[in-house]
Formats: sequence, structure tokens, C-alpha cells
Amino acid sequence: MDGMGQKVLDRAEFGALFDALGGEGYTIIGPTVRDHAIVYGELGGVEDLPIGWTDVQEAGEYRLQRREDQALFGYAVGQHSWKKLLFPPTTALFEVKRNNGSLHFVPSEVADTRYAFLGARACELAAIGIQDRVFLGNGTVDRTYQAGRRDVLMVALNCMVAGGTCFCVSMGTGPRCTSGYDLVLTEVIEDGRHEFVLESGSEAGQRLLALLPGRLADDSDAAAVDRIVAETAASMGRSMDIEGIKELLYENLEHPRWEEVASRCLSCTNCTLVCPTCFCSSTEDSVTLDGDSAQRSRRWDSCFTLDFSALHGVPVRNTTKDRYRQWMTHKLASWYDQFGSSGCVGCGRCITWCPVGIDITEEVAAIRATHGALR
Amino acid sequence: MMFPPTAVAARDVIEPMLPRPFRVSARRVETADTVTLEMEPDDGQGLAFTPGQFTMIYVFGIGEVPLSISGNPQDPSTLVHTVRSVGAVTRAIVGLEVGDPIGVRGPYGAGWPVGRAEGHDVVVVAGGIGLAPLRPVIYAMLANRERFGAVSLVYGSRTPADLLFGDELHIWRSRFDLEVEVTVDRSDEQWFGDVGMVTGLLPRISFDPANTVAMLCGPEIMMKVVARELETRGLAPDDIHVSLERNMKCAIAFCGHCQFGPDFLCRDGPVVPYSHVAQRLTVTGL
Amino acid sequence: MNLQTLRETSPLLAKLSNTELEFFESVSSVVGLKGGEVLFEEGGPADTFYVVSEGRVGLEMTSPGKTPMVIQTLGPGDLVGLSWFFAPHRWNWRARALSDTTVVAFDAAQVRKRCRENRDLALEVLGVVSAELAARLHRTRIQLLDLYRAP
Repeated sequence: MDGMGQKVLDRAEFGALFDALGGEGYTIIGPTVRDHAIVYGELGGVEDLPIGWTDVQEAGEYRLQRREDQALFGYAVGQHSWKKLLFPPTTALFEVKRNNGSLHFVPSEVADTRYAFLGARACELAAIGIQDRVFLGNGTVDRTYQAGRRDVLMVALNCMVAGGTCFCVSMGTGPRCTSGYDLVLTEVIEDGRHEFVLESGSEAGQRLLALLPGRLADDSDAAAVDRIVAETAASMGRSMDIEGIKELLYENLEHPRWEEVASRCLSCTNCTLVCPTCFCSSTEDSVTLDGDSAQRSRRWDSCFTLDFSALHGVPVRNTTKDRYRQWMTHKLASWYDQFGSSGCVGCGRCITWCPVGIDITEEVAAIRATHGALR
Repeated sequence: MMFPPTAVAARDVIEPMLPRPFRVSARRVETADTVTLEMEPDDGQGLAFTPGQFTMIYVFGIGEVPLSISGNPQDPSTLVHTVRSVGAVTRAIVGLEVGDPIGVRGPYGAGWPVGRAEGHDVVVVAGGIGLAPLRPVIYAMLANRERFGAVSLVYGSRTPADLLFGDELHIWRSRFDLEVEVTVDRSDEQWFGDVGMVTGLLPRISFDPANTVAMLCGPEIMMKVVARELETRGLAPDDIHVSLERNMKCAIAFCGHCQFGPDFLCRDGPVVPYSHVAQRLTVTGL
Repeated sequence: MNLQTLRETSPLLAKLSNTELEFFESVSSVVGLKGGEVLFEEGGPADTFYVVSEGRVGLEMTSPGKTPMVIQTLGPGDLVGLSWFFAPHRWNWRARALSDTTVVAFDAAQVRKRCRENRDLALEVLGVVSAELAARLHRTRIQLLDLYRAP
């Protein structure tokens, strides 16, 4: 490790990170407890973090639980992802005024944001990288996404615990943050010490690091980080075999498992809403009461809704089977053709937040186990 | 380093979701539920397009739909669409009158392989409203007729009353350098033309299967059946092109609605080689 | 009329050996029809079948108070009439020329007799007639789907 780009802050010094980010004009977004869940919201200071909390996650199951220590980051991801800030659930596109029989289109203002994302995990950096390719590297640039994304300062986090539905190791996205951050921190709680090892990954991170107190890191700190990441990697709640997965799914579009999973799936769209890479959207129009102006906005949509595929009012994907198959084959197979990577980062949110506990890793395993079966 | 460099370069991109104001300049009733509209841009800046491309047409306060361009690519000053009333937005478009304003985005998508067809025989097969997206191809080929081999149009319609572009069909039929065959599923008392499916007319037209490009547009089942028939007659699946239709909200590969397997049909289509999609076209609910 | 030329467009004639083609020629005659002229009547004996050389023939059935509705049109190379091959050898439809048309007429009884004597020929003819039946059934099924109706 390069000692110049590293610092170790004591728990008592950690508030200085908030001060430094605030001083640079950033709005700090990070994990906080709300309605018995850890969500991403604006943080005023260290005290807003879920101090001493952890989460218990299983398929269709999420609850908070007290930790035995006062860790700041002792939990996995919740139902929120950074997507809600970079690709907001609703976005105004334009206003159109009708004046003397002519239309005047006025693009909506793009909010001027300057976010610092505190506690973005490796899987989430991967998810943001995937959405970068969707919204910035896919031929056309999405101005809303671009405006939000451009000024984000990324304070990433090496996970100290793995959730019950995590499988980032299988997807090759974590738990160690390797790129895409300005600063990365690792929380170290051992032998009576409670510290944070910070490493910069950019010039902005380097500048910020210089503003912070703390001591320079040494080899033992690096070893502690390695140990923590290794322990997290070894305690993944799930795993998924992705060897040849694109071909596996393309070759099994008529596999009986789709009918089976469809008999459980409620088509509720939860998995697509919590997924940090799902990017589908629809448009909505509204007219003012005087009839002289109208607005057009964009909102998240889901391939699980019946009208998502409607062609002249008739859905192409008429059954839950069609829609589940679309979602999973898009996520795990056609995404490679479209964007050069999997659309899944192994965060486990779709498993945890599925009301009936459908587990994408289990579905892949079931198809793999009976590859080639026909209805 | 944090931010993808491609995005920084494209910082001042024009608004991809913002329509341009146009106005209906002519309206012609084609059938009981279909009209052809000519539209002109408020700013006088024409909309150049290649045959097979589509635009997103926005009707004030109601919504936006993708519509294939049915006009002449040689004359981009006027945007022409042939629209069938099949939903809330298309119903509103069909009801527009001369002078009414609309919004237009585009053109979008991959069109017909007109350039690739040069030096080849060309077989154009249209079904129902599917003739509209193919009309620009006919215009393009007639404008440079010497660049193509034998050119034929086979057009199937539900009834004689559902035929589009009647006057033009008549003119095209009278040309010696264009073979036109028209058939209907159900005849009426005034109809003296052919009755039956378009595939029944394929044996009548002349083309060299080893040197032919086919372009098909119509209901998916019709395109599949015609493509298989052309394959049987010796055309390579790579030389058969079909135009596919799916729900579209953005036309710029963001909204996800038009996905068909790995393809965003708004960008990778709507025109695709049959070979590329033949297998997918047999899967229900994809 | 030279059957060799018609062979290029007619799947039936294309299948025949030169010997058989000569036989077919010996039981054939060329018929010229004005537009509107009837080739055979619905319910009549199917003792002749035809291959269109030029023009178009429509298959239709009469109905009270209505102009006969054409359900299928046949053009150059097409076989007009299939019932001659199957007992009881009676036409189901009326065939009428839709424009000035030239057809080649074949004596069905002679061809059937020849088929009984020559199994190879019988198989070839059966193959062509069945393929034509299958193609017409397929096209009719697609037509039944009424694909071009408003969604």
C-alpha cells in the first residue's frame, strides 16, 4: 500500500470526515435508520449513521438487530440503492405550452446536486459502473443522470459483514472496492481499537484525505483490511455459478422452471425497484386545468407490469412466466450482449425484498441442474 | 478518473427527449381507420431520414408513439406518416386536422438495407399497414432504378377497402420496371384482383434467389411465413429483412420497453435480418 | 403450347420424366378463355384438370342474392382443380377466368389410369397434389387468423 494515500482515523476523529465533506460543499448521503430499516438519506453527522445496528437478511426477510459493539457500518445493503439519487424515481422531462395554435417545448431544469455518497459498497460501485454504461455509454447521454453523476464524490466502504443474501464474490464485484471511488474506508474493530482505514483513489480523495486528522497507515493496518475483507468474502450468504450463464439461459427459454417460479411470483415489481442496475422507465403526461400547458415526466417502470410490453394495448409478455423470464434472462444473459457485463452485481436485494422469497441464485441453480428440460 | 470520459465529452448533448414543433400541412384518408399526414417543421429544418426509420410523435397532453415514416426520403422537407387508429395516441393523431401542431423526435432506428440491395433483385412483401414503412424504399429504388435488378412488390390486404396508397399502387402497376402483385384475404363484388395469402403470389414474381434482397413488413406471423417461404425458394436468411414492432417509450435505448432478447428494437431495429431473429420469433411471450 | 416451357413454372409438370411429359402432352389441349368464362362448375364431374399458362383463374361458390365470392385466385403455373385426383371426382368450386386466360387442359381419366399402371408416376403426382393441398391449407389457416385486422 502507498502510505501517502492512506490514513487511519480513530472513532473519535471520524466526525472530521463529515466536516471536511460539508466544508467542500457536499450534501452527504449515506446509511441511516428509518422505519426499522437501513436506508440511504441525507446525513447531518456521524450520529445519523446506524450506530450499533446490523441487519438480518434472508429470502423475503429483513429486520434490524442490535450489535454487541458500536460499529458504524456493521450491516449489509438495504432496500435503497444509489440509483434513487442518480436515476430518480421520477424526473420531469419538459413542459410544453400551447400558444396561438403553436407548441413551445421547454426542457425541465436539471437539479444542481453535489453529493458525497458515504458508504457505497463494492457491489454498489459495480452497479453504478453498469448504469454509467446504460445512461452515458450507450449511444445517447442521459442528461439527468449525467448531471447527478458528474459531481458525486464517492466515499466507498469495504464491507465488514456479508448479508444473508449477498453473493458479490460469485459475481466478481466485491467485497473489496478496487476502483470507482475517491476514498475507500474500512472499519476496524478489534483488540480494543475502533478505527477507520481510509485510502484515496483519486486526486479529489487525496485532497480530502489531507484535510483529515489521524495517523498514517502502516502494514498492520493493511493486514487488518485484508483480514476483514477476506472474512466477509468467506461468509457470503449465497453463491451463484455464472459459468456459461448467458448460453445456459438462452438455451433454456422453454425450461419448465419458468412456469414453476411464475406460480410463486406475484409480479409485484419489488425486485426491479430494489435492483441497483434495473433502468427501465416509462413516460407520463399531464395537462394543466386551463389546458394551455402540459408536462411530460419519466418514472421508473418494471418489466413485471402487464402494460410494460403492451403493443397496441395488448401485452406481448402476457404471463408472469414471460415476465420473470424476461427479467432474469435480461439481467443475467442479454445484459452481456447489450453492455458487456452481467446486469447482476450480487447485492442480494431482489432476494431479500421478494415478498415470497424467490431467490435468483436458486432459480439459476435449478435451471442448471436440469439444463435442456422442456415443458 | 471517476467519471467516464465519454460522458464528459458529450456534456452539451442536445435534449434527446425534447420534441420539435411541427404542424400538419396535409391530411389524406386512406381507409376507414387510417390516414396519411404530412407535417412541416415550424423552424423549416427538414427531417432527413433513411427508409424504415421512425419518429416519436407527441400529441399535446396525450402522449407519444413511435411511427414509421411513410414519405419520400428524397424530400425531407415534409415529414409523412401513415397512421392507423389503434390506441389513445394514434386515435388523436388520426383525428388531427391541417394546421394542428404536434411534436416530433427523431428519426430513429436502423432502416431497410437499401444500399446493400443495390445490384440485386429486390422482393418487397408488405401486409396491411406494413406497406407504409416500405413505401420510402419503393421511392428510394424508383429514384435510382438503374442501380437495382428486378424489383417487385407483393402486397396483401384484409379487404379491397383496406388497401393503402390506391392511386400510387395504380401508377406503380403501370410501370414496366416494377412488378406489383396485390392480393386480399376477402374479396368483394368490386374486386377483380387476386385473393389469397401473399405467399401464393411469390411463384409469380421473378427474382434470382442467389442474388436477391427481401424486405418484409407486416404482422409478425405473416413475416415469419413469408421468410420461410423465401428460404424454401433459395434466399439466404441473411438476405431477408423484417421490421419488428414493440412498445417504445424513449426511442434511445433507455426505457427498456422495446427489448427483444438482446436487441433494443428502437436502436438495433426496427429492421433486422431475419437470420438474427428467426429463432426468437418462435418463442411465445419473449 | 409447349409443355416444356410450362414445366418451368408448374410444379406438377416439373416432376415428370420426359416420357411421362410426352404422355401428358398426348392427353392435353390448350384452352383460351375470355375474362368471365367458366372453366368448370361447382358440383360438376372432375374429368379434366388444368395448369394456368397465362392469366388468372378464380375459385368461387355461388350464394343466393350475392355475386359469387372469389376465395382464391390462381395464376401461371398453378394447378386448377384437385378433386379430379380424389373420388368421387366432383368439383367443389366453380373456376372462372378473371381475365383473358390460357390454360392447358388434361384428361383426368387418362392420367388416373396411367397412375394406376405406373406406381412411380402415381407417387410423383400424389406428392405434387398433396404438397399443393398442404400449401393451400397452410395459407388458408393464415388467412383465418385475419392478421391484418385492427388489433
